[in-house]
Amino acid sequence: MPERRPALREQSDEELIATFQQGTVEAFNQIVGRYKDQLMNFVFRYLGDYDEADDIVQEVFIRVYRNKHAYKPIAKFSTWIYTIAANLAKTQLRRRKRHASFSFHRGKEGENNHDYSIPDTRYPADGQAESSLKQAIIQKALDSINPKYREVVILSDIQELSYEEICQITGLNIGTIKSRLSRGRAKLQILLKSLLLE
Amino acid sequence: MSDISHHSDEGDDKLRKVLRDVPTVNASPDFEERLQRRINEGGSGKKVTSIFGQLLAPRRIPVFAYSLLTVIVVGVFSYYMFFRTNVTSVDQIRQIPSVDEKAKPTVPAVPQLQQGIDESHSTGQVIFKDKELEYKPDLAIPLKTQSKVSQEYKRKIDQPVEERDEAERPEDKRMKTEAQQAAPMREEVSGSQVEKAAPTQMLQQTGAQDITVPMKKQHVQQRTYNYSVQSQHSSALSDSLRKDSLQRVQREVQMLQQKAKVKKPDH
Repeated sequence: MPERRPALREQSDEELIATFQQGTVEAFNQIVGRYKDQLMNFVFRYLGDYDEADDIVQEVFIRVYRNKHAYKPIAKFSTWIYTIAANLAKTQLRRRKRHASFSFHRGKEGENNHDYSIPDTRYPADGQAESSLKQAIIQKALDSINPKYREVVILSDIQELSYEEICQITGLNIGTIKSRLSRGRAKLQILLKSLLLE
Repeated sequence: MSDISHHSDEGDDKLRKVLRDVPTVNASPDFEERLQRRINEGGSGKKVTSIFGQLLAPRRIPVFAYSLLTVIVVGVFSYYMFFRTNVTSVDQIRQIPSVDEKAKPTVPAVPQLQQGIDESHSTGQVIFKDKELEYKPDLAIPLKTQSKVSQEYKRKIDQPVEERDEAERPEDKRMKTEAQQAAPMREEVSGSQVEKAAPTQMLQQTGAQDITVPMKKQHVQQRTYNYSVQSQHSSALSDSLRKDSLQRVQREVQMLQQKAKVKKPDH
């Protein structure tokens, strides 16, 4: 009697990718359903632009689809897909800076002149309209700090990943992670002083 | 110290709570449909543009700018290096002597000029050892500037030696006789030079013919000067020749003036 496989919804991430590697496309759809919002939140907080974040997350899943055999079960699938997303987000950030340095329409380099855009109301956040302003302030503060601090703070305090997972995603040792996290938090405390005093 | 860390921990806790409460941003409802479409298209959804569109893409503008700058710099350098100096190849650059070689004094292999009054001079040519150059009248002293004294000097040179001896001053004759008297004494001192000292006697004894060159020609041949010039057509050469000729003429003028002051003895 053949071994009965659990339903796709009940499978872990590693089992799903293994199933997908065997050719089951439904497993890939299950992966997309599980990670699209997580990655979208992470990339949006890192870049601060919804359209760019949407494009990046789509690119992440396309790469997973094409390079499914590149995943080896020696690491968690979540760290693998987060690593892809983080690398693509960093690349996008560098590309944006390069365009900004050669663009005549932008201000001087170094100025914090990102066009902050609140997410479209068609895709509402899990909060109420009252939290939109708060969200805008937090996002502006995140955009103001150094990207290497921002990445660690988002992964740790927003995505709530463990130090070990952050180490695997960023490729840094745990001491560097803690140091960056501490510096990033310190800068955010200064920037969000008014919000924290409430 | 503990207060500071306590405040820091408290601030971190507040911050983490604020960040945790930030509403999550979800993907759009049509996210999966668009993703499926992009996967089915077989590409990553990037727009396929033409070759010109890819070449002139905004991301390539910096590359074009640097390339253009490099081309301009190379062009200006080449213009000043090759075209302005008329150097068109690298071999020509290699042939240019270095600074050390320039510092060495070079002695050019120039022909030696034999200037004198001989047959070639009368035909208007100057003979060099290596090659023959055309006589250039502008290099010689114009006839108008030649004084009567120099013409007289020429005439005197062309005069036969016997006639010239007759015109010699008595002091010169006396000195000549004294020299002839002293000749035998020198023969005694150096016996090997007997033949040179008395050639006429030797000829008489041996009965050989006298084949000596006539005195006039011999005298002319003795007036042979060697000049070394640096360049064939240099203006310095013409100036030096002109100056030399003028000095010679001046010397002759002085000599003739001195002679004119001395009264000829009455015969």
